Formats: sequence, C-alpha cells, structure tokens
Amino acid sequence: MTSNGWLRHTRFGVLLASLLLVAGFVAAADHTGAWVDEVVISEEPSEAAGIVRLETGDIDIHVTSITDAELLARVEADPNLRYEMSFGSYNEMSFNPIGPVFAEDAPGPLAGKLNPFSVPRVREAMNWLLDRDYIAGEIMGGLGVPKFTGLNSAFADARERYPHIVEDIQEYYAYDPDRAEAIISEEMEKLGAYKVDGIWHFDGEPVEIIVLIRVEDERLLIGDYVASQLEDIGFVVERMERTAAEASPIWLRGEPADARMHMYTGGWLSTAVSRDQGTLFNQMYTPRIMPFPLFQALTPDPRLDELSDRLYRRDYSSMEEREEIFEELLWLTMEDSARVWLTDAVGFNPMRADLDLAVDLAGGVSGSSMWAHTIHFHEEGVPQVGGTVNMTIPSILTDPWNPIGGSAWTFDNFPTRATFDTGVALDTRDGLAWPLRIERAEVYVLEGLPAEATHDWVELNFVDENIVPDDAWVDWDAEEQRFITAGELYPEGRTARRKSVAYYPDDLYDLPLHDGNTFSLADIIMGMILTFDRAKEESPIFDEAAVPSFESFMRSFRGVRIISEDPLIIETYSDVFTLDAEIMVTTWFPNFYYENPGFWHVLAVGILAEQERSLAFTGDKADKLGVEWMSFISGPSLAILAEHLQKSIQIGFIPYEPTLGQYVTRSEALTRWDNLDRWYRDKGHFWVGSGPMYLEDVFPVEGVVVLRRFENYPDPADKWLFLTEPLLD
Amino acid sequence: MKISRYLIVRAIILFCTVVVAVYITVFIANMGGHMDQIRRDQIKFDVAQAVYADPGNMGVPTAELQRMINERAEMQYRRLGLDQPFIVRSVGYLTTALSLNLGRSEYLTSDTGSREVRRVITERLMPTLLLLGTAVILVFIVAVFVALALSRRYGSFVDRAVIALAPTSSAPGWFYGIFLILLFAAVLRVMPYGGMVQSPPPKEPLAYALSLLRHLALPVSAIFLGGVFGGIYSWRTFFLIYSSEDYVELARAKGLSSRRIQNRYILRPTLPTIITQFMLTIITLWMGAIVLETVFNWPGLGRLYLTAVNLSDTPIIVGTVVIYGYLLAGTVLLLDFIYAIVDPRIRVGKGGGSR
Repeated sequence: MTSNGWLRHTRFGVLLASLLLVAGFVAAADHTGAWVDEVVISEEPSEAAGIVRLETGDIDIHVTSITDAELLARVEADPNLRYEMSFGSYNEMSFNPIGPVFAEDAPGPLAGKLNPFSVPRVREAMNWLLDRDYIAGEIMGGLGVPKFTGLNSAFADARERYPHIVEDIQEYYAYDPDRAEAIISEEMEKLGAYKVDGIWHFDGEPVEIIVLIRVEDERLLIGDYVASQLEDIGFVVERMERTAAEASPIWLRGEPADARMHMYTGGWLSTAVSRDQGTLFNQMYTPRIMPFPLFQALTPDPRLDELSDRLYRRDYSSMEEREEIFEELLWLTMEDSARVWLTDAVGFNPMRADLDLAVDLAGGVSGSSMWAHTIHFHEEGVPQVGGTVNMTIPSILTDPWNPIGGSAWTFDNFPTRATFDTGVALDTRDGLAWPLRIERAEVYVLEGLPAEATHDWVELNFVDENIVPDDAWVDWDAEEQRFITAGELYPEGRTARRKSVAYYPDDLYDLPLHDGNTFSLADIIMGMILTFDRAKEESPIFDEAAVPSFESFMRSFRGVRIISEDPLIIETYSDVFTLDAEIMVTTWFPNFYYENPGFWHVLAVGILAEQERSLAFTGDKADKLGVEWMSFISGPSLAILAEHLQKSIQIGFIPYEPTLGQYVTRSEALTRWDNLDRWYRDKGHFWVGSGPMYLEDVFPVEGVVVLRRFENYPDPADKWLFLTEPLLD
Repeated sequence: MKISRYLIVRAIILFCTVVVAVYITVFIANMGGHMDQIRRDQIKFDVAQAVYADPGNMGVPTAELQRMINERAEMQYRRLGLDQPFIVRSVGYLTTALSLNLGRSEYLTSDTGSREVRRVITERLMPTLLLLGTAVILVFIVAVFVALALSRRYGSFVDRAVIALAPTSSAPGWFYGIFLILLFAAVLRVMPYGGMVQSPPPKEPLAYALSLLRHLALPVSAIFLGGVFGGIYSWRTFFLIYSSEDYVELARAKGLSSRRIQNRYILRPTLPTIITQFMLTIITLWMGAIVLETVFNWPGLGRLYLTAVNLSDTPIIVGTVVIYGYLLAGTVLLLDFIYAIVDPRIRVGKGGGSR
C-alpha cells in the first residue's frame, strides 16, 4: 500500500469511527428507559464459579459483593474484567464488661477468674495493641479499611462531615504495642496480677483469656491475630472457635456474668448508605436498644450515655452543636471501648469490562436502586444502546413476590427494583435523593432543627410552626372505608416538626404502566389507604403482622393532604426529620414496598383473594390461615389470582369504593381490568410496574428471571448516567 | 395365612423403625430442643435491629422500644410455634410427618412460592429423578452387563484394565464433576457450567429437551465416572463367585453354550440379588446428591435438603426423611414378600425363618 493509500484508508477509518460515534450518541439521545434490550438473571451460588464464568464471557456480571482477595487478584489480572467496590460489613471485638473478677459460683469456665477487660483502660489499650493495617492489608488481602470509630469510612459522617475528628482519633490510637503493653501492665498490677516467667498470673494461676471466634469468615483469622497479640504480652489465650449457631448462646443469649468468654469477634452489616450515623452510639455503647445480656451489661460513662441518647433523639439545634456532640462522644467511645472497631470490609462487584451501571456504595450492585436505569454496554466509554445482559446472582426467587408482604431478600429485590419507579431516587454514591417521578419539592422544618439542603430541586424552609390543616387525612376508618381528617380527630389542632410538599409534573397522568394502563390518582390514594387499613382490626384484610410497623409509623405521622389533583401536589406532615432535606420528601408514588405498594387494580386482585382467605400477602398471615403466601409471579397463587381477576371484571370491582370510588369511574376500572387480563394472558403473571424494565418471564425451578426493556418508558436513557461516575475521592 | 401374619408382623416392625428414625431426625434437627433457643435469639436480634432502624421510632423511650421488640419477637415465636415446649412440637412434627400430611415449612418456600412441604419437595423431585435416575440406572445397567461380560473373560486384558480402574470409584461423582466443568465448560467452552437448562430456558418443548440433555451430560458423566468402575468390580466379583458354583461347572461339562450358561445358571439365580440391589439403589435417589447438585447448580432434592438443614427447617428435613423411610420400609417389605413367595430357601411360620 502507498503512503497516500494508507492515508486515505486512515482518513476513511477515522471518518467512519466518528460517524459511528455520533450515530451512537444520536441513537442514545433518542433512547428512553433502559439502555439494554434484555436482562437474563440466573442463579449461581458459587463466587468462584461466577468469576470463571465472567472470565470465559459466559456472563456479563455476577451480582454480588465478594470479599475474597484471591478472586479479586484474578479479576484484576484479566483485562476483560473490571469491578466496583462497595462497603457493607464491618468487624469489631466486643468485650465482656463483667468483673474485675467473675463470681466464684458462675457456671462458666472463668468462674473466680480475672477479667481485665472489665477495666475501660485495658479495653482502650487494645486499640494500640491491634494493628488494623495488618488486619485490613494482610488478613483481608486489602479488602478492608482500618476502622477506629463506629462510623463507616464511606458514609457522610466520617467522609464529609467529620473527617478531621476521625483522623485525629486514628492518629492518637495508631498501632503502638509498647504503649498498649505499658497501660495494660499498669492496670493489671492495680488489679493484683503479676508476671511469672513473662506470663500474667492472678491468685497463683496464669490469667487465661477466652476469645470467642466466629469461624465462617475473615473473623477466624482476625480472632487468631487478636489472641496472638494477647499472648505476646503475657496472657494465656484459649481460642474458642465457633459457628454462628454455636456462638450465639454464649455471646448473644448468654449472661456475661456466666463467665464463659472475655471477648467476641463481632460482625455487622449495612445494606444501604446511611446519611446519619448518630443513632449507632445508643445501640453499641448503652443498654438502651439491644435487649441482650451482653449489651444490657454495659455501664457507660454518664456523659457518654447522655450524649448517645441525645444523638439518638436528634436533640440538637444546629449542625455545629451536632459536631460538638460527635467530637466529644467519639473520644468518649474510644476511652470506653466496650467494643474495639477493626475494619470496614470492602467487597468487589465483578463484571465484564464493557459493562457499566450505578453501584450502591453500601449495597453494591445487588443493593443498587438504580441499576436498571443505568446498566449499559459501552465501547471505549461510549454507552451503547441494546444488547442482552447475562447475569448470575447467588440466589433468586427465594420467597414469593407480592407488593405488600412479599420477599424481602436482597437478591429477590434486585430484579423487582428494575420494574418500578420511585417518587425520588436515592443517589447510589451518597444516599441523597433526586427527583424521579416528582418534579420538585419543598420542605418546611421547625426553626432550630439542624437540616440542610444540598440539591436545588428541594427548597428547605425553616418555620416557627407546621400546623396540620383540618382537612388533612390523619387516619382511616376501616369500617366505613373513609379517611378521618385532622379536624375530626384533633379538633384542638395538631402540629408537625416537618412538612414536605411534593410537586408532580403536568404529564403525570400520561405515565404508562407495563400492562397498557396509564397512571391515575387512584394509585396514590390506594397506597394511602393501605398504609392504614391492614393494621385495623375491622379491615377484611387485617394482618397482625402489619400492626407493629403501623404503630411506629403513626407515632410520627401527622397527616397528608392533596392540595391539587392536576397537577398533583401532596403535602405530608410528620415528626420524623433527618439532616438532609432531600430525604424528608414524601411522595406517595407507587413503587412496591417503600412508600406505596403498587397500582390499585393489581393490588385489588390480591385484596380480593385475601378477603376470601384463599391467599395472604404476608408469610405470617399465610401461616396463620394455613393458605399459600401470595405470589404474583408463579405457583398455585396465580390460578387463584386469575379467578379473582375474572370476578373483578364481572362485578367491575373497585376496592374501598366509598373512598377510591371518588377517584375511579366504573369504565376506568373496566379498562384497567381488561388490560390486566390481557397482560396476564400474555405474560402469565401479575407483576405490573412502571419501571424501565418489565418482567417478561419467570422460570421458578430453573431459577431464571427475564426482564425486558419497557419501550414506553418516558424518561431518556441517559438521565441517570451520572450515577455511574464516581463521587468518592 | 402364615405369609399374611408374617407380613403384618414385618410391617409393624418396619413402621416402628420408621417412627423411631423420624423421631431421631426431629430430635437431631432441633439439637434436642437447643435449636429453639438459638432461633429465638436470632429472631429477637433481627427484630431489635429492625425496630432500631425504623425512623418512626426516633425518640421513643427505651422501655417502649423494649416492649415493641418483645411483642414483635413473641409474634414470630407464635408463628413458628416456638412458644410451645420442644417436646410438644416434636410430637407434632412426628405425627404430621407420619400421616404424610407433611405440613408447612418454617422458612423455605418452594420455587414457585408455596410453603406446603409436599409441594416444596415435589418441585425438586423431578430434577433429581432426571439427573440421578438417568445416571444411576446407567451406572447400574452398564456395571451389571459389563461385569457379566468380564466374568466370562476373567483375566483378559480388558478385564485387568477395567479392574485396574476400579479404585477411581473411591472419589465421588462431584469430584469428577469439578474437573469436567473445568475441562469442558471453562477451557473448551463446549458445555454449560451448570444449571438445568440454558438461560433463558427455551419455550419450545423440543429445544427445551435438547437443552436439558446438554445440561445433563456433565453431571451424568460425573456420576457415571465416579461409580461405574467400582460397580463393575463388585458385580464382576459377584458373578465370578456364582460362575464357580458346582452346577455351573456341571453345565459347562455338559457342553452348554456360554450364553445359555450365563442366562440360565448365572443370571437367573442371581436375579433376586440384582433386583434387590436395583430397588435399593432406586430409592436412594430420593435423598438426592447434595454436593453434586451444588457443584452443578442443579435444582434438586439434595440442595433443598442442604438448605433446609442450614436453616433448621424441620418440617422439610422430616418430610424428606419420612418419605425416604416409607419408601425404604415399603421396599424391604415388598422384597420380604417376594422372597417368601419365590425363594425356596426361605420358610415362613413356626420354626421357620431364613436358613
């Protein structure tokens, strides 16, 4: 080839590539909803097998957060693979605070023996004795981050608000075994212990420490490391290695005074990004929350106790005051060290290199609320339209799916999240909310409450009072099937700590549902009714399992009012407030589980079935009635639901007619039923949402779920792509 | 009459054996009631975490929180029957199982979402029968016929080669399964890694069947490799013993053809043993293959059983065991009956019994 020929070919190649790139962008710009055409999810319980299948291109993503360093090395070594990190679990050592000497008549092996860890200073010294960098780097193969305080390293309090406090603590408590030994020796001598041939003795016997070690995960090695460090400074250590079931009677149920162990390798889990970790101190350092003997035996310093409770109750009037409390409290917890925090475990979420999606900082891919909106193949960073994503997931279809009391398993909720929208979407990187179905919002909180707004879609106002209007709905009369207003129930008037106003767009009622129907105000009203009805004994679908959470809800709920029906504007009054205005917006949009369980006509079929005691929404009620737990997607439930669908069509059924009938005409109801009937005959299930993907097929025994792109989804595909960009430094 | 009485006595003894076996299972599955306390702890822990995480409970006094936790935990205890003493519940488990009602599971649901133990088990039965039935029958038939052939060629090269391979059966099928997956799925990429059918499963019956066959190939091969040489060795030894009986030698001396000798003088007298072995092999299918099904991600009874044990879902564990117990007892009873009828060496009645 001549140089000119080469040049011509090169120019042609560049031109062609540019055209393809532009064409790709143009196609992407017109594209709505999901980027990909189809997602096929099947079960693969083995992490190692998942990685092998990724390596060979058999799948595009294995949906789980893995903490195996060897598997990470394999993924890192393969140029065709990539991963996203997520935080979730964290490790600590919990100490038995009883002592300094266990009672002679205690039933455990340590009866009459010394417990050095009853002394806060000894516990505090453990912070210097344990090398967290070693644990994170060597034991956890780099899949851990040293952790000194209870705050998660990746969440807002440690990362955004108080990194300087955390850094000071890290610096002060940096690994220093000599200092640890000096302090522990000092305290041991005060307790009357002494060393013989380098071994601590008390009452003529070696001081034996029992470390209760969990064996299922990295805690086995961590426990062994802790034991070795104690042996190095003169303790005799018994490593009591136990499974969860074996350890539970000792650390969880057992009385610490029974003298069975000195310390336990604790492990905890966060499944979502927490914007306010101020509540953890009451749980971890005081006996207020956890009803178990080891927690009940805690005797915190009065100041620590007071400040923990103030943070729990959010008893502060400004962010500055909150910071002061945090600073004092974090140092106090280090001095108390009822538990010594060790690491935040980091998991990696593996996938093929040409795939991208929004990954939740805490929950990983499986916990991402926006995965379906963002998942796409890309060519050198340019998102591509279309394609089928083959996924594996550790388990699927574990429990029945229904929108009220169905499966709560993470891996079941993963596909369901693709099928519905939410009023607001949680940012997978920092937990803040963005408007998804609503357009904007206003939040009114009482003057003096420490709230702030980060994004401009929400307007935060501070007011002297939030008076609940007389016509706001505050409760539900299940017998008459009508809402009870604030004027009726609280003639003396009612106030709330915050009010949120959600503004929906003008075209809300054009929003298409998967079954061919369009959204209506009745869908919102149905959700409001079900918030109350199932917990009312007079209701035909009363479920005692719904009562406890309803009681919690009513403790802070103050009222709701629809200000305008078209465009839809809803104001909600509540005493719950958070630090972020974005999180305080209540939208009532039907989204399964979170605020409102779904669309009225689909729910009605299930309600009819439960009314007639042929199925039940919750597993609890199903067990009580001896009927099947309702599944909208498979099994014996479907025939029963189909029967009730036909009944609904015949009678033009409108549930809660005295109220819902004001928002649905008989002909609208029939249209909904007809479309649902067609949907069921076509798809063979009742899972109807409005999300970017719909449920195309379910294969329960084979363990396969197929999701398809919902073509009528209105939002552009690139709307949420920013969530795939990193936020963390 | 003698046979009837004999069978009734045998049936009663076998039923008692099943009762004892099932109760032992109930007892072990619940660690003698110890499991109840562990489950109560776990429930309370989960409830406490949920109450603590509920924003609606912000600012609620501690005593009220504790009341809520206790109330919710009690509700769960009642649902699972944990409010009753273990001894009462254990009798309930036993009677439900023995009546074959099987009851409802405590944690697991079937793949299609049912809590009826019968349905949970039934849904997993077909995949297990398909996999293990195919493999075990294949191993059995191949082993018996190859062994028979080898017993006629005792000492030949093929005989010695096959016998040399017999120790390969000391490794279980799943062990070969891992190698087969690595070779055919990961390296050569010609076979699937696991699962029952391709994903998504084909809707056309023929395509579904072909996909099923393709997915059966590796696990069936694994079981086959893990069992066939050992099986051949056992049966060959068995046939060789029969081949050296006096009446076989006599037949040979009479100049009968080897096929006739095989069919009439070796196979026929060994048939009851072969049938017995075959029936006992068939009913072991009921328990599935825990590790193999896990390695191949096969949705069978073995994996179900493992999950149930991990979750201490007693009704499912007991349901699986009781059906196995009945099948085993029924088979033994049937074999007793057949032997009593056809085998002249067995006598029934006073002073009778096997000799």
